[in-house]
Amino acid sequence: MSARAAGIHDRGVALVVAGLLVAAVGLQAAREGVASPRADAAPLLWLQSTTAARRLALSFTDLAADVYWMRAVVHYGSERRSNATAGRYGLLYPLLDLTTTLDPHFDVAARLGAIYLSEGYPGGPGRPDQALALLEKGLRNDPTRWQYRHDIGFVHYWWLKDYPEAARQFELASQMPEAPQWLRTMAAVTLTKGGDRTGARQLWTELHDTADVDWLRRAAEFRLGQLSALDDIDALTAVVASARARGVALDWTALVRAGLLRGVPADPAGVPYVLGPEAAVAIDPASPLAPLPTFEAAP
Amino acid sequence: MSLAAIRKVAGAVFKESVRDRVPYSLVIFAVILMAASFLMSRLTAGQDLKVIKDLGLATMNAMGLLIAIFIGTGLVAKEVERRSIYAVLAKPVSRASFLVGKYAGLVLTLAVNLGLMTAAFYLMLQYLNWTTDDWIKQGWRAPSHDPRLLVAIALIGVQLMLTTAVALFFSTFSTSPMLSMLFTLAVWVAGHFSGDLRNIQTAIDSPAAAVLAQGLYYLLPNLDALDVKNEVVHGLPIAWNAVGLGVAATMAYIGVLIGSAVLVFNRRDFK
Repeated sequence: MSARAAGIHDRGVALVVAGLLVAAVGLQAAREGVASPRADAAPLLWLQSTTAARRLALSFTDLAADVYWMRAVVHYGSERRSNATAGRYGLLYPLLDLTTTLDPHFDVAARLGAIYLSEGYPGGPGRPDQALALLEKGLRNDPTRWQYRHDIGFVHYWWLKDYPEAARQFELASQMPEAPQWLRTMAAVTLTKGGDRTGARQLWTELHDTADVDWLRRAAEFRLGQLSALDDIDALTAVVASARARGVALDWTALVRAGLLRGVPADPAGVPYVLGPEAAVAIDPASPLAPLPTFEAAP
Repeated sequence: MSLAAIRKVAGAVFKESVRDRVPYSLVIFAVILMAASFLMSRLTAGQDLKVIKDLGLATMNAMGLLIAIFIGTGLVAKEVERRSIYAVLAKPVSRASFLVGKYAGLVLTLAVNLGLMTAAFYLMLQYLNWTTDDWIKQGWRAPSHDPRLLVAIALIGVQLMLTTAVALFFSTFSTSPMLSMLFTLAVWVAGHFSGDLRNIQTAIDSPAAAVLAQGLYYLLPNLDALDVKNEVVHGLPIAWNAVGLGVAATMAYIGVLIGSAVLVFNRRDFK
C-alpha cells in the first residue's frame, strides 16, 4: 500500500470510529427513552463490621476512612433532600462509625457527624444518643482534645436540654490541655441560664468563632439566625400588641404606615415574617430557618 | 562479591526498567489519581487537605507495591526464561553480585518513581495551599506541604525495599512468576496482620497456638511499624524510637532475604 493509500485508509478508519462513537451515544440516549431508569436500590452497607473493615483495609485505612466519610456526607445530603417519609438516614451512624474506626483521629468526622446525627427529623435522624456515642469514641481515641468534651456538652445542652450535665461537660472540657478560658464561663452560664437564649447564643457564637471547618461555621450561623428570629418575633409581638391596642389594622403594611415599623419585617434569611389572624407573629414555614427551636423568651 | 559488578547489574536493571513502560504508566496513573483527588475533595465537607494527603500517600504505596511485585518477581525468572542467565553467569560476575545488583537496580527504580510521585504530590499540595483561604488554613492540623510527609514517604520506601527483597527471594526458586507474585503479596498482607498475631491469645484458648502465633509475630516483618501516614496527616507526634527500631528490623529482614536468595541461587542448577 502506498503512503497516500495508507493515509486515506487511516482517515477512513478514524471516520468509522468517530461514527460508531456517535452511534453508541445516540443508542444510549434512545435506550434511556425506552427503558425508564430503574429506581435507586435501597442504600446498602456491605461491610458492617468496623473491625473487619480495619483488617481488610490493610495499609490503606486512612483512605478507606475518607471513602466512608464521603459516603456519609453524600448519604446525609441525599437523605436531607429526599421526600421519603420514613426510613431516612439509616446508614448515617454506621458510616460514621466505620469512618472513625478506620481513622481514629479523624476528628471532623466525629464532630460534624455528631451535628448531622443530632439534627431533628427531617433535617437529620434526630439521634443525639448516637451523636454522643460518636463523640465519646472520639474522646477515647484522642483523650486530650477538649473539643470532643465541648461537643458532648453541646449535645446535652441543645438537643437533650440536660443543662446540669452540659455544664459538667463544659467544666471537664475547661480542665483539658489547651482548653480556652471561655469554657469555664460557659459552664457557669449553662448552669445559671440553662435553657435560655442568651446561653444558647453564647454557645453557638463560640462554636462559630472557633470553627475550623466551613460546614461547622455555617451550622453555627444557621442556629444564630434562628435565635435572632426568635428575638425578632418577641419584639414584633410587642409591636403588634401595641398596634392592636391603638386600633391599627393588623397587617404589616398598616403597621408601616402607622410608623410602628420601618418596613415589612424579614427574618435573617430575608423571608418576611407571617402575621397570623390572631395577631400571632411567626416565621414563614417556607423560610430556610423554619422550624424554630423552642426556648424561654429573651430576658 | 564485587562492587563494580553489582553497580553494572544494577545499572542494567534500572535501564531496563526505564525502557519498560510499566513503571511509567503506573507513575502517570498515580499522578492522575492524585489530581482526581481535587474533584473528590468536593464531597468531603472541608476535608480536602486530608483526602488529598491520604490519597497521595496511599497511591504512592500502592503503585510502589505493584512495581516491586511485578518487576521484582521477574528479576531472575525473566533471565532464566529468556536463557540470558547463561550469558550473565559466563561472565566474571558472581551469583551473589548478580542478585544484589538486581535488587539494587530495582530499589533505584523504585526510588526514582517515588521521587517523581513525591514531586507531583507536593505540587498538588502547593496548589491547594495557594487556592485556600487563610482562615481555613488556620484549622489545618498540619501544614499542606508538611516536610514530615517525607518521613511517611521514606518509610513507604523502606516497606517497598522489603517487598522487593521478598519478591527477589521467591524469584530465585519459584518456577512460576504468578506464584512468586502471590507469595510476595501474601507476605505483604501478613506483614500488616502481624499485630493481630501478638494479641491472638485474647481470641483463642489454646496456649500452644498462642505461643506459635507470638513466635510468628516476631518472625514475620511488621509492616505496620513502618506506617506513620495517619500521624503525619493529622499532625500527631511520631514515636521515633519505635520507627527507628522498625526500620532497623526491616533492614535486618532484607539482609536475611537477600542472603537466603543468594544461598538458594548459588545451589540452583541451570543446566
